Amino acid sequence: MKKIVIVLVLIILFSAVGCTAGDNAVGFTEYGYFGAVLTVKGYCKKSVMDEIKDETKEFLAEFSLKVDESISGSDLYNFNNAIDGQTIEVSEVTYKLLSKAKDAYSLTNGDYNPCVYHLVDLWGFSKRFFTNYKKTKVYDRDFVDNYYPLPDAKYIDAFKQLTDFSKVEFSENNGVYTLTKNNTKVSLDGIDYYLKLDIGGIIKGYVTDVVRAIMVTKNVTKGYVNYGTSSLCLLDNADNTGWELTLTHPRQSGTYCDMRISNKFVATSGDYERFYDVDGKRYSHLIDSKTGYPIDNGVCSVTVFCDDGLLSDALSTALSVGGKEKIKSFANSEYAINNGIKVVAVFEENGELKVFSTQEITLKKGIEYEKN
Amino acid sequence: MKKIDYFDVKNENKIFRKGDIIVYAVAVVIIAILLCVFLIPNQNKGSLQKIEIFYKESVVFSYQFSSKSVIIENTDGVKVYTEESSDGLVVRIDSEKGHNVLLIKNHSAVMQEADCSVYADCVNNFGAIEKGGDFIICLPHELKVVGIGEVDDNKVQL
Repeated sequence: MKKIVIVLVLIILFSAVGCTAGDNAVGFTEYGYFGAVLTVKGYCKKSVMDEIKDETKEFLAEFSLKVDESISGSDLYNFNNAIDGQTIEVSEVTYKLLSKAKDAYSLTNGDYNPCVYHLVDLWGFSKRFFTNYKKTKVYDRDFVDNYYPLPDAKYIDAFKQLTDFSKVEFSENNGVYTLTKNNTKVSLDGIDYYLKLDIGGIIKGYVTDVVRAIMVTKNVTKGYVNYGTSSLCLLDNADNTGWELTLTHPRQSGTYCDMRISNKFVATSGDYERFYDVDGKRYSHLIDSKTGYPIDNGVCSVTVFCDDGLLSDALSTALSVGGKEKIKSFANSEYAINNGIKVVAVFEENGELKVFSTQEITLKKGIEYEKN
Repeated sequence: MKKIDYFDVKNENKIFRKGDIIVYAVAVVIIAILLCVFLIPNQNKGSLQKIEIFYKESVVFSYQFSSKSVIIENTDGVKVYTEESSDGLVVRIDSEKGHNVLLIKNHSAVMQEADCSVYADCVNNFGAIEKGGDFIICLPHELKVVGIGEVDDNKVQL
């Protein structure tokens, strides 16, 4: 009897020690690329996470030199500064990224549109407005307290015409990749404007794809990649019970729902991320390329759950532009169902917020589902 | 021949011999300790213990919630001042890059003001630091504010 007890205690002791001897959570944070903060967490040895960190930093450094349009000499910089008919050679990585952007543009019938560079700048949401903003363009205004005065309608009309992605010619020949913009020119007050690309709507999702791939090659299956708090890749959580994911409330501090989920890419677009209010109306960084204006369709936030990072990012952007009915029909479409894509959205109607969701979530107090 | 005592025989067959009591007692104590350590939920999970402010990757300020102690590191190019207010501890960070104001309350910290840009991401786009692992970044001013404490490993917010 005594022997049995001793053996039992030893078994309990060793298994307890064994449980805690598993890998702890380790991770790193990287700032300064594409204006957002990248947070990576994994359950593995620190030496493995150090390798992931090094490879991620190397990737981000090389990648931004190609696709960060604010870096002189990058592929995007060169393309954006080109005029009609000028063929620009780009790297394979850039070409493939923009090809995926083209696919997303087609899939969403132009609701996701990277050709919004001029409009984003006109409305005051491009990178230069987040550092020491100075008026440099002829259409720039002075900020008034907390808002940016509305732009002249003639610029909205002009820049709306610079959003036809089909005018960008993609060409691949013997390992040489080129892009050419054709017949995009719009002239206004003696200044010529040509089509320019803004990849803000897909870049974070794409980076989470790449970092996830790096983690997978190191056999890290538990953890997550969080980029800019708007693009997320969840792997498994520590004990395989699912991460407790909460979604940011679009109108007050805190969150509006929670859920248990793993192994998904999640992307959110919302009109509360970058915006200003003028005369009680909200103008956000989500630009509708068809109207030339920030979205004004009652959509406050869209979150997309999907198995591809870039696609989740493009879809969340596209659906916020698409509006309520498009969100519902897409979420219930065969395409979404067949591809395991789920959507959660918050709409504003008569001052009240309502939630629509095809993902299993639990709403917090104070917000309700909309009645169909 | 030694006479076998009736009581010796009785003792041998009993479950609880003297020496055995010690073994069983030790076993119970070990199991009790293990239960306390592993099964009773950690009530301190996610609590905030400390706030650290980094300017260009060096710590320039740290605050301990339990002792309410403030440590300011003198660093070139940046000055940190604190003042008590009715809302909490106000921390002003003035650097060559610009000006930020962090408010530390009883169990949280939030960026109140910043002149990094009109949009002030650090003020508007980062929520309050409420538990270990939460952070606020002011990219244009190269400022990072970090919450130190027990990290609730399983929560993610998007």
